[in-house]
Order: sequence, then structure tokens, then C-alpha cells
Amino acid sequence: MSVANVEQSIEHFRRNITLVREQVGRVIVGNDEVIDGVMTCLLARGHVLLEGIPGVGKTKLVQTLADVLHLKFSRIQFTPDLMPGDIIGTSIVREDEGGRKFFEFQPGPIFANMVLADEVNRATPKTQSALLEAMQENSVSAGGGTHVLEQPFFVLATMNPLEMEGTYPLPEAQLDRFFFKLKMGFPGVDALHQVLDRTTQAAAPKVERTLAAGDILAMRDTAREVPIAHPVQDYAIRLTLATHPESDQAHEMAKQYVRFGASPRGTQALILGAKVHALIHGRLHVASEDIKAVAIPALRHRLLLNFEAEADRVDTDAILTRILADVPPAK
Amino acid sequence: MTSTPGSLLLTLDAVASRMRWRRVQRLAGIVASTIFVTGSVMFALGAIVAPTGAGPWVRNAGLLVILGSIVALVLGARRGVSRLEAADEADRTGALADELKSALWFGEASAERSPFVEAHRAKAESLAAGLEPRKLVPYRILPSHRAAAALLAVMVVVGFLSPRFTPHFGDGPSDAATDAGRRGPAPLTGATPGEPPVDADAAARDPLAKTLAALDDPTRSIEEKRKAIEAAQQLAAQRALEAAASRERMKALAEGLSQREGYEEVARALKDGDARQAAEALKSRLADGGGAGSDREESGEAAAAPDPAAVDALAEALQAATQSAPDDRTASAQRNLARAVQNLEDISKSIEATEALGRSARRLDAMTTELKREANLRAARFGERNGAGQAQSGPETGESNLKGGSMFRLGAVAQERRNPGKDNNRAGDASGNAQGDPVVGDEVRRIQAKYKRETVRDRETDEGGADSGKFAASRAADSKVAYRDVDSRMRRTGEEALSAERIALRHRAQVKGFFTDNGGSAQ
Repeated sequence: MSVANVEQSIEHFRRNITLVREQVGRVIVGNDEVIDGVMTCLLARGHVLLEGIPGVGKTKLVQTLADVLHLKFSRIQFTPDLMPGDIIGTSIVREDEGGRKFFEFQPGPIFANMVLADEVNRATPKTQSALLEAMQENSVSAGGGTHVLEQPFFVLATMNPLEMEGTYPLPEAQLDRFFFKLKMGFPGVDALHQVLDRTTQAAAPKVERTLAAGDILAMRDTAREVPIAHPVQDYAIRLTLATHPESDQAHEMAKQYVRFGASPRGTQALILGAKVHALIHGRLHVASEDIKAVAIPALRHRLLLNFEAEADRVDTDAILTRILADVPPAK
Repeated sequence: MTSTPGSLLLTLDAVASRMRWRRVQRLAGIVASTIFVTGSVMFALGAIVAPTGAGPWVRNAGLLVILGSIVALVLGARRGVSRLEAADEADRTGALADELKSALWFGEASAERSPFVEAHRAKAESLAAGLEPRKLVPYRILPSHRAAAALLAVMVVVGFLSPRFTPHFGDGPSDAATDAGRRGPAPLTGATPGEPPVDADAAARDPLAKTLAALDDPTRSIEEKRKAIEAAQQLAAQRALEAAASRERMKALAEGLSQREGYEEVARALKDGDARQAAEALKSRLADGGGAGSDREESGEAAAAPDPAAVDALAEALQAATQSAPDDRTASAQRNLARAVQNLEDISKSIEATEALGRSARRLDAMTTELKREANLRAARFGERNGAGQAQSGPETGESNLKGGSMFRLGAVAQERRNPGKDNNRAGDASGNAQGDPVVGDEVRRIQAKYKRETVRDRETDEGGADSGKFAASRAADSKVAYRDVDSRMRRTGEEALSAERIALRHRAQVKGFFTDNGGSAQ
């Protein structure tokens, strides 16, 4: 690829992003940060953990995105009685023309490009692990064989923060596998007006398909090409170390409230997310502000807080905000 | 906008140069402020400490600070700015999102040459070519530094042009004010004839005034008051001697004057020691009714004791006056008479002052006696345990010099109301398990007689009487003893609490009982 091709690929990248935003914006009101976050995860080959109260548009967002991106979409509603086979598929007995019986693997809903795992914390850990294994390996082991999942494979898992009874909270080790954790908040007055205007009338808004799977894959490769200078990478490392209470670069709030800090996966998420963010904003390099922009969604679910944080009602967002303010950017 | 290869480095070098000069400017402003402040402090401190001889130290310290700041300026100016620092500054001020810094790093520190890196560097070169270093790194002198430099220039100009404002650090010829401060009051001797000995008045009045002030000061100790009284008494005695000598001289003068015609009345007055009468007699000799008389009005203040020099001056003046004929009314004769009158009036004032001083001295004696009695009536404070045998008697320690020994604190504590009838308790409830210190002596008498409503009897006292005069049986002594006992007990408790346990002796038993009982009940 020459320098001129680079410029073209970046322009192409930005144009596609803009198209997706426009199309999704026809259906989803506001939540621009969430849409950008989901796109960043998709292009960085990660998976998203989406948190929000019921009715804020989590499922609608994913469905709209799947329509815009022309990707195969499946939705899995997790319930306590859901079995792993319900997700990955199962082998059934079939009979051929000669009457001989054989097993045939029937793929489950996970065999899609975009998978919405609704209320993932309601399923048992056994079922959760089946999903998480697919997320990690991009393949499924079932029926005596391994089935590779078609790329792009993208999982959006949702968690209901209200219902805690009868739920199986994801363990921290499993939470760490999600690239970003995005929060969908309650819309404001103006946004509610728009939502009601769009959803309570006879004609529902429609979206056009703009991208295909091949485009997504190309954009993913482009994002990986973005260079990052050592001082900027050092800034990402300092941010990660600031979340570790035992580190000599630990922030004061981390020492007080954090039990375990972000893992190296968190630093990887910082770098990859910053690369996509830089491309979205037309830069050929990763800057400190790109790291800052993706720090909170990339790290908020990777910090394990202690009881003092619970007692003082301090959440990870507050800790990360202070760390971002106090840790100096790349020099 | 076209870019030439290396425009990024050229721009960064220009930015680095401007950053370096800006640092020099800021350091120069700081140095100017430092010099101004240090110079001002040196000027003020030098004037204050010059009489003490510490002026050169202040000057040297100030020069050291100034020299240090100049050295810091030179060192700061020599330090360079790296390209990475310049790129960081340019990215920050130009809101370039680490563009230049990243491109510089890839150009100098990284071997990666992917298409993206090349594209990134090319873009940075193009961007750098369009940058203006003077906008990225503007020269800006802080208003405070500007003001400091201006004030410093004014200070230097004023110092050079006006020697009066040049700092003086006390190592040159001293000025009159400094010398006056060092000198002290003017000596009494050498007063010019006819001039009143003003300094002698102050020298006599001040010790007396200080003594009286010390006696009225409740914070002064008995010993300090006693010393002040002794000093005042010595001065009064000295003045009395001088007054007596002056009277003798006046009598001798009277003998001489009695032979002179027209001065018989003066001589008679001098012989009687009445200087005022003698002055009146002399006034009558003046032709203009005393117009050339005393130069000063009579002062209502008491003057000092008659200074021998003043008496000499009087003698000289009288001699000069009597050398003229009785009816001589010339100006010189009048002047001599006037001078003699003045001296006589001054001497009369000094004699009156001496008499007043004598009365004060007698009052002081009476107060001394009273103070001594009061000190001896003090309740005995108990000395330290260890120093029991060597306890010094006196009003400060409160120890009695009773033969037979001293009573220690524990013994007195033991003799509280719980054991009213016992004399020689060594340990009591208030002291807990601690044993009382051994009492020294054949027999011990409690000192706080009035506290226990007992009369202390000294077997052998210095005066030899059955009842010591130091313990007066009076209500005033009673109340004083009781009052001081409260104070002494409070102090005692505080001193006892200084042990490692931090528990006063008087409370030790209760504390021990608490823990012992609780341990027993727990079991």
C-alpha cells in the first residue's frame, strides 16, 4: 500500500463510519457515544457489554446496526433454564435415503455475524461459558468437531442492572473478555420527544444497508495498521498501572478503593480502541486524546473494587475520571 | 503548502530555540525580583542591625543570595531544549494532537517504515512547514517580572545618585544616633555651671521607680524584689552621703561669706542649710529684682541629690559674685549673682529630693521586713524525694529550715484528713503502695501547722524561742497556708503524673484496686 492508498483507505473508512452513523441515527435517538463505541468494538474485533435499564433501546440499537451493516443477526434471550446446546447448537439424528441414521449438527443461534445475548446474567454459568468460549476462540466445539464462526463475529451482551434476584453475575475473569462496556442512559426530554415521534406513528423509520461483511473486515485491517508512537503507548501503560493499587505508579484513589486493577487485556483494548478512534477522527496516528476517549469504556468493567468503595458508593467511572485527570499525557 | 524534507526538524529546532530564550527571559525576571527583594531586605535589616555590628553579616548573606540567583540564571540559560520537548510544546500550544511528537519519534527512534508511518510523517512534514514558531512559543514577560525589573533599576539609580540612601551596614563611621544608642545616659559629672544636673535626676529617679514597679509586679519572685530593694537602698544611701557632704560644703561657704559685706544673710541661710533662703537673699541683691535670675522656672519635680560639682559651681559663682562691690550693678556682677542664685535653687531642690529619697528608703525597709515575714510564713513545699536530705530552705522551695529534718511530699500526702492524728506517716491511702520517703531527722514536725490547726513548735530555733517567729498564728497566715496548700497539691499531682505510668501517686491505689478487683471478678 502506498502513501496515496493510505490516504484513500482512511477517507473510505471515515466515509463508511459517517454513513453508518447517519443510518443508525434514523432509528436510534441520541446515544452517539454508544453508537461510536459499538462501531469501535466491531472494528477492533472486540465484543461489547451493554448495560442499561429496560426500554432504553439496547436491542433496537443492535438490530438497527445489523440491518445497516447487512450482517446476519441473531438474538438469544438468556433465561435460567437455557442450556449450552441452545446457544451453540446440537447434533440431531437424521436418516438418509437408505434408511441409515447419522448425526447432523444443527448450528445454534450463535452462528451469526452479530449476536445479541440479552440479559446474559440470567443464564447459568455453564451456559455463559459456552458463549464466552465462542467469543474468545471464534469457534465452537460441538458434535465431536470444531466449527469456526463466520467473520465478522460480534457479540453484544446486555445486562439488566435492576434485577439481581435469580441472576448469575458474570465473574470478573469473564467480564474481562468484553472489549468495551457501554452504558445506555435514560434519554432526555428532547430525545424522548424524538423517540415518541418515531415509534408511535404509523410509518416507522427505515434504514438502508450501507456496509457488508467484506467492508467491515477491510476496515478492521485498516484500523490495525494505524501506528502508535512509543510515548503515546507509554501513556496507555501508565494509565493501566495507575489502576493497580500495588504498583508504584498507582493513583491515590486506586490505592484506596481498588482491589485488582486492569489486566493487560485492558491495555490492548486501550490501544486498539484508540487506533479506531484516531481513524474515525481522520488521524494517521494515535494521539493521547484517543487513549483518553476510549479509556473509560475499555477499563470500567476491568477494575475490581473493595468494600470501602461500596461503602463510599464510589464506582469505577469516578476512579477512572480522576486517574485521567491526574496522569499526565504522553511526553 | 509544499513541504521540504526536514521541515519538521527545522521547525522543531526553531521552536526549541525560542523555548530556550523564553526560559532565559523568565529566569531573568525571577532574578530581577530576587535582587530587588533581597536588596530591600538588606537595606532594611542593615539599618536595624547596624548598631549590633551584624551589618556585614546581613550584607554578605544578601550578596550570597544575589550571586546564587545569577548563577542559576547562567546555568538555566546554558541548558538546551530537546526536539522532543519542542515537539511536545508545539503539539500542546498548536492543538496538534501529538502529530509532531509522534512523527519525530517514528523518524528518529523507530525503524518501522510501513505505509501508514510514511504517510504519517509526510503529513507531519507538511503540517510543520506551515507552522510559525513565534506563534507557537510567544515571548511573554510577566507583569510582575517587569515591575520588579523597573523597581530594581530605580533602586540602583537612587542608590548611586544619593549616598544618603546607600545601604549602610555599620562598618563605617557611626552616626550620632547610633553612637547615642550605644552610649547610654550622659555622665553626671562635667555639668556646666548653672546648668541643672538633669541626668543625675534621671539616674536617681529611675532605679527608685523601677524598684517600686518591681515590688508591685506580682510575677516577680521574692528574690528579685529583694535585690531591687537592696539596689534602691544603696542608691539612696549614696545620695544621702552626697547630700551630707554638700551640706558641709555649704557650711564652709557660709563661713567664707559671713566675712563679706552684704552677704551676711546669705551666709546665715547657708549655715542653716537652707539653700532656698540663701537664694532668696541673693535675689534681693539683683538690681532688676531677679530678672536675670533663674533661667528656668521652679520645677515641681524633686531633683537629685546635690551634686558635688554643683556645689563647686555654686562656690565659684559666689566667689565671683562677692568679688564685686556690694553696690556693683554691672552686667557681669549681675550675671554672677544670677548664676549663684540658680545654683542655690538647684541645690535646694536636690536636697529636697534627697529627703524624699530618704523617706522612700524608709518605706522600702518596711516593705522588706514585710516580705521577709511573708516568705517565712509560706507553707512548706515539699522538695523532691531524692533530694530530700539536701533540700534547700527558702521561700522558693518552701522548705523549712527546721532542725529535725524536712517533710516530704508523700509524708504530707499521707497526713491528709484520713489520718489526722498521725505524725510520722510514711505511706498512706493517697499514695497507694508506694512507700513514703524516709524522713530525715530525729523528730519531724508538720510544717503546715495552720492547715492542721496545730502550732509548730521548734525545739531549737535560731532565735531560741519556743514559737518560731516565722509561723505567726494569724488568720492571714492561715488563709495563705491553705491557699498555697491547694496550689502545691495541684503541682504535686502534676509532678507525680510524670512517671512512666502517667498516674498520680495519689490515684495509684484506686487504679490498682480497679484492675485487681476486675481481674478477680472476671475469674
